Amino acid sequence: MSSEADTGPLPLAQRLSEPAIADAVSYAVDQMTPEYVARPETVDDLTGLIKSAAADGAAIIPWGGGTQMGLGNVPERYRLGVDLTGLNEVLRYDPDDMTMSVQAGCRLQDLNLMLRENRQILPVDAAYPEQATIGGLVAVGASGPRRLGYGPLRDLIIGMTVLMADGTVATAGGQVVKNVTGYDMMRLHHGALGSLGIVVSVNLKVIPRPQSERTVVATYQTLKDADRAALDVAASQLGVTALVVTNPEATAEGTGVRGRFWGLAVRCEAPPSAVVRQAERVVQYIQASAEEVFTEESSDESDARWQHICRAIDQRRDSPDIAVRLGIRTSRTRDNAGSLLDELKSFGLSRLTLDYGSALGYLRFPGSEITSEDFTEIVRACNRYGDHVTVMTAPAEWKHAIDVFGSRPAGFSMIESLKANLDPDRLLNPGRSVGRL
Amino acid sequence: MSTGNLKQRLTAAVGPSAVLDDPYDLLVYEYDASDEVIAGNHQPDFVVLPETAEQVAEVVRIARELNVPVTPRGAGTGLAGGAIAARGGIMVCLTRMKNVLEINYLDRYAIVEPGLINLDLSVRTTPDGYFFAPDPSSQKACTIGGNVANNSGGPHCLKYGVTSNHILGLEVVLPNGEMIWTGGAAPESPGIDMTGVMVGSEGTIGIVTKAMVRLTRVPEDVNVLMAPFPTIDAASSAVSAIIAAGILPAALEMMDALTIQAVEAAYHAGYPTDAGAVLLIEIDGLAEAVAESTEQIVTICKHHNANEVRVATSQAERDLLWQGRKAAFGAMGRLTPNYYLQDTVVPRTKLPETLRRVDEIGRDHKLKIANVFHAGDGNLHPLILFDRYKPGELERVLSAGTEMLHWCVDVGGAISGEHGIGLEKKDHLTLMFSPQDLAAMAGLKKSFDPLNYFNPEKVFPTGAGCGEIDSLKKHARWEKMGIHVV
Ligand SMILES: Cc1cc2nc3c(=O)[nH]c(=O)nc-3n(C[C@H](O)[C@H](O)[C@H](O)COP(=O)(O)OP(=O)(O)OC[C@H]3O[C@@H](n4cnc5c(N)ncnc54)[C@H](O)[C@@H]3O)c2cc1C
Ligand SMILES: Cc1cc2nc3c(=O)[nH]c(=O)nc-3n(C[C@H](O)[C@H](O)[C@H](O)COP(=O)(O)OP(=O)(O)OC[C@H]3O[C@@H](n4cnc5c(N)ncnc54)[C@H](O)[C@@H]3O)c2cc1C
Repeated sequence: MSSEADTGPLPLAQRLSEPAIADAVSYAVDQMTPEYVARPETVDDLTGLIKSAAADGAAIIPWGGGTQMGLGNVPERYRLGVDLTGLNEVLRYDPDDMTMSVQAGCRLQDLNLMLRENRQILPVDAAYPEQATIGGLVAVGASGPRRLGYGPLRDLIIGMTVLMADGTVATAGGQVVKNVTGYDMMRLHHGALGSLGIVVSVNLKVIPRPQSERTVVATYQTLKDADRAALDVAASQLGVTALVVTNPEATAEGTGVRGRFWGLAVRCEAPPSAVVRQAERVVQYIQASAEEVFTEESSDESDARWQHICRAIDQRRDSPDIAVRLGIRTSRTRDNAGSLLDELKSFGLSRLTLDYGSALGYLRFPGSEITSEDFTEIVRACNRYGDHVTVMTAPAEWKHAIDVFGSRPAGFSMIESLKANLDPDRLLNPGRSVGRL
Repeated sequence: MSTGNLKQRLTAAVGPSAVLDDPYDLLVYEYDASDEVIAGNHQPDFVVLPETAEQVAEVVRIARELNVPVTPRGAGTGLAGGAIAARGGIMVCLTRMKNVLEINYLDRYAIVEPGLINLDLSVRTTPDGYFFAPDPSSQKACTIGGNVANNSGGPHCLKYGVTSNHILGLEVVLPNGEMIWTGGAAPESPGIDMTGVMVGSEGTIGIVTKAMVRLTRVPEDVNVLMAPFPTIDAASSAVSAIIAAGILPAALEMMDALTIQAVEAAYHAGYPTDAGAVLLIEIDGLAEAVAESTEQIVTICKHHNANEVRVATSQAERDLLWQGRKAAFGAMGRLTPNYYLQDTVVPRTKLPETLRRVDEIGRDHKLKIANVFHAGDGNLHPLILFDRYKPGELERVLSAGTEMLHWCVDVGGAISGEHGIGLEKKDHLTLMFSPQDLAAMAGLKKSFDPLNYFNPEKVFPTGAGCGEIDSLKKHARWEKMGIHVV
């Protein structure tokens, strides 16, 4: 917009006189609705928009697919919702270099469908890959069970372009798989929940699609038995790519096995004949005290199994459930999860998924059955047993009382000065990230 | 503030035997492993050798109070001048802090002090079936603190990833004097990923005083293959074909004819001296998978005209093949008095044309260039051979180096893959980044170090005016060394 160059940014009211998307309610966050919503389709549009918002002092909440909008503290202010799904171009894909550069609004599933044609993948889990966007994945910075085999998304990011709060566009990293030129701004923004900049595009390395996969599932009478089997596999040289233990409710949802059984799911990914042996050897490790052991022998079924397991962890934003994630190191999982379960017995814990490969545990409670006092008690108990605790989803009125990210991390003053230097007017997701920054 | 007073306070903080200020003692701390005619050198006013994190914090608080620059240093094997006290002041050398504080195999981590030598950790844990994956070729000498600061790589990071992927948490002393722990054994602790930000920041925003590092399970089986090819081009296409086949080797390294000659003369690693290039390929993992991939790789190499493919059958044979590669830089002494090592990266598919270009640049500048590098991830290490006392040679070396940087950036690459920016490459940063990009990075620096006294002069390009002064200074320094630039 040439006129803007002379006169400064347009006020939002002028720029968005006809909101691109009328229904601001569908962009509510913790029951707060924005005054404006926009879905820019070019980086220039987005930049202009952010400059206008900055001139107006309007607080911005970026939106990807919306699958994790429940995560975060209650916004302090919210005037402009920016839907980034219009920025959905694959800027480049170099199959032979195994790298790509994609805009923030690209959906995980679309990318993997594209990669599949060249027998490659972006080895990243999500409960709703058809919705989840790269920008959202990066901003949330959570990794699923496949982290054991392929590392977190964090380690696949080789470059990034970010729109800063002052309207400048800043790039870091590059298009090559190994690079130490300049600061690692990618890791600054990964997991920052969009509090230091809006992710515009991300450069990623991808990997060869595993030639074949199998999943071994076993059930046990007790957590203790499942834990022992999981630890044996973890200590082995079998090189499995995901390793998860589930309580009976989560077992039913994730593996389809009903009854009072704890479940263990082990993902094997390797060349075709090796994977058969790998799965057989996994079975030998885990069968001793198992009730039942079976193997998903086709790659598609194995993959589908993990989709179910991920959904037992996650839930849609509109689900009434309370979800909590805790850091729980493998050596303490049995004792800590056991004690935690005892303490939480009365609150109707529905699903517990223990990701042994990641040292994370996920709990879900039926929201309709617990009170705000119960909620406080649950969070307190989790804090006793977790290395760290994050309330992933809860009703806004309960979240007001706590910091969903727990106590302030060490070095919080550095995070404060990062915010002060990179987003001095606190326009980006104000109040939502750690320490209500 | 007089230096006498500073000395007193440093001595009180770390003890008299841990403060050096005798110019003779300081001499070795003027340099790192970079060539000082290229990256520069500078004497610190004091070197302190703390033994505890608390001592480091105390030194930092003194420096902050008295506004004296602080430069962290590990073993000084860095190749970019990162550990040089560019503005003098206090050098904090961490080599006396080298304890392994905790090893936890169940949770797969070790907590170590920053001065621990990289290889010493794996030597300790390998008998139990675990290792620390980042393996720079300098691993017998470099420290884990230095690895963290430079986000170092190594042959095996093709499969296992660079240092950053293996750091779970850090204890750091920040420029404000605070000492904090970032990260931890369970990932994704809430807040900004301070661990990730710290790794690769070259000592400019914090001093690492402890590192919680990931331990990786030793793979069940491992094969090392050595494949000589008639030409670099043939070897490069084999590299691409291996990757395209969906195989991810643990390591995939290339050496050209010049390197092979140097290595064979020095170590007799068994590389055929008539080859145009040698690939060293390691495959590891589940026994069945290793067997399957080995067969595939042998077929691919033969298809791409490998003269032969030798599979090392014993540990001794594997070690010998690797020793040749890891000691290749050292072997260059057989060929040349000096070398200038570049560390550029290009997209893997650009390797063949890039190597041809490197060869051309060498011929244009009448310089010999040896190549030994991480082919699997496109990370080149052209070694420009020269004699610094031959008039005009240094200038040609620098100009050849700059041409390589330009080429690599132009084909979509980067100016440093693993050695860092330090002093050596800071003025080339603008080849890759715009003022806006650099401003965002400067925002990060400023958030941690508003006084700009932690490892000053590093990473960020010199302002235009200062740049000219610097180059004048550089020439003056060369003259002093008896090097005549034409
Ligand atoms: C079982 C399970 C497994 C998972 N595995 C992984 C995994 O392996 N790897 C992984 O990365 N994630 C994983 N996740 C996390 C999760 O799937 C994604 O983070 C999520 O889908 C976010 O995508 P979205 O587009 O819906 O984001 P949204 O819900 O739209 O946004 C999430 C947050 O990010 C902010 N945001 C969105 N887009 C941007 C942007 N462009 N710039 C700045 N801020 C932005 C929003 O303001 C919001 O606070 C997993 C989750 C579950 C439950
Ligand atoms: C023969 C040879 C081979 C090499 N091979 C490789 C290789 O394969 N891959 C590779 O990546 N590199 C390689 N290098 C480069 C070098 O060894 C690495 O960069 C190494 O990590 C440096 O470690 P150092 O302890 O020597 O650090 P130094 O050189 O002492 O310091 C390097 C940087 O780290 C900072 N620093 C050091 N310790 C700390 C600390 N505790 N806290 C904060 N900052 C700190 C310094 O300020 C400096 O900026 C090689 C070098 C040589 C000489």
